[in-house]
Amino acid sequence: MDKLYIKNINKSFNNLEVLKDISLNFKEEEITCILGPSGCGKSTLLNIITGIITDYNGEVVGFNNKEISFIFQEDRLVPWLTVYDNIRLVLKDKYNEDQIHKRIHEYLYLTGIEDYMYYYPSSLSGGMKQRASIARALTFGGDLIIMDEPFKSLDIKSKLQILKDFKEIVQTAKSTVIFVTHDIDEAIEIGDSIYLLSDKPTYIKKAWNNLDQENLRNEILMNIMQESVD
Amino acid sequence: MKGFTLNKNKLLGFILIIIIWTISYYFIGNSVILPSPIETAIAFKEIISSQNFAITIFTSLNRLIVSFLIALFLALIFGIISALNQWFYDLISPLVALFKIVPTMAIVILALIWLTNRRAPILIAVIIVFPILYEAVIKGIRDIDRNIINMTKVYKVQQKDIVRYIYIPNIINNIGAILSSTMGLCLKIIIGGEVLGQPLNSIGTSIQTEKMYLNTAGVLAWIGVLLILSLLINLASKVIICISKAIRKGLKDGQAIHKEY
Repeated sequence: MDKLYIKNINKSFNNLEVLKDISLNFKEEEITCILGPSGCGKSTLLNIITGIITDYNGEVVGFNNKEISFIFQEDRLVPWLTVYDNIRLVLKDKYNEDQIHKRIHEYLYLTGIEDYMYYYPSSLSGGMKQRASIARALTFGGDLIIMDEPFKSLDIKSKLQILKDFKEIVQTAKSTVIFVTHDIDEAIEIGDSIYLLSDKPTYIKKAWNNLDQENLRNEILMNIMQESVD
Repeated sequence: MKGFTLNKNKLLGFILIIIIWTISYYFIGNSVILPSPIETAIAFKEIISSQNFAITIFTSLNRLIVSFLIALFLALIFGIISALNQWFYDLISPLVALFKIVPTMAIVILALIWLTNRRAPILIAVIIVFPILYEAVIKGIRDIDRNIINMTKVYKVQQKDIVRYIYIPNIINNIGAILSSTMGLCLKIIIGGEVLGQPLNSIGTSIQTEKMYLNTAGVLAWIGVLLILSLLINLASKVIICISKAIRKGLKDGQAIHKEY
């Protein structure tokens, strides 16, 4: 896969500076976390990366013509389609029926909801629906998975379990992931590297590539607190 | 047990109506104003055993089905275009508003001037039912969660699949929810139009004829027939909804063994 990075991204809305000189590298088959407070412009950054926002200054390299899977804050499942058919809907133009069938089975097994394949979303818990949404993104098999605070609506128990499972699944599937969150614990639990964003105007405050270091949580917290003092 | 209690209550309600009716009959003491339940039952038996009964029912039901299908067809065409194009929506909104506010009797009179008495009830029903179905179609398209539509764009789902798997099922759900009540309304309007237009062999004309001969028992017996017809229409609506769901499941290429939600 080509190198994926963004360089010196600047974005303003009506003279309000939102993103300031943001540069990020996304490593292949790794989970890159973008950690920042709510409303700091994380979604704007994702929209620039995915090409939804086009009027910005800076470089976005390697994302053109990439197949991107998205895991949203909400599950975004079609209520009148079963889990199987929800996933099949996004695969129809990419794979033949045999491949679709195999992939859906494989990833529903990986995400632990194979038994709920023919259930409608209304019969599933919030955690299971989000697992179905993750399975949809993995089954699609794009070059890149972008996750925009996907565990925000889950209770703590479901979140911890799904985080643990997700990391294993992504390692098995060898996916490249950009994971956006405001939750330090999520970022530490799931990430291979973390970029900490400041509040507006948003810039990269600090980056960590080794997440095995001791007291990482405290260090991140210190950096966040430092910003408040500043 | 709950179902049994419910049916028992319904039966009690029905018996209560008969008791109040019988007491009122003895209190009024005039069969022209209020016939007894027995007189009405005899009239009912005469009506359903008459030679013209089947053709009368068939003619009125035929008008009901034709008018409903025309209204549905127009609602689908205009509703889909309106939901996707604001300019078109604004363009026809005065016409739809006009259909909604003009009193039924005014529409009946105009329809009888413009058309033959056989066709006038159909036009009346179409004009009254069309706005209800039209709004259901628009709602079916516009009410879909924008997040789901954005999700299909992110995954580059083809437009034909978005229509087939997302828009059409939601339109069917919306129309299914009002199918029974709209068909019931359509039947009422058709009968009303027939009462005034008096086309040959129709329920409305039969009611009007009974009224002309001051045969109130006959009028009530026809109301009984209409009641049974309404129940059958209600049942038919449920069957149509079930069939449409089955067809939709079939449309999914039979890949999955679907469980009901």
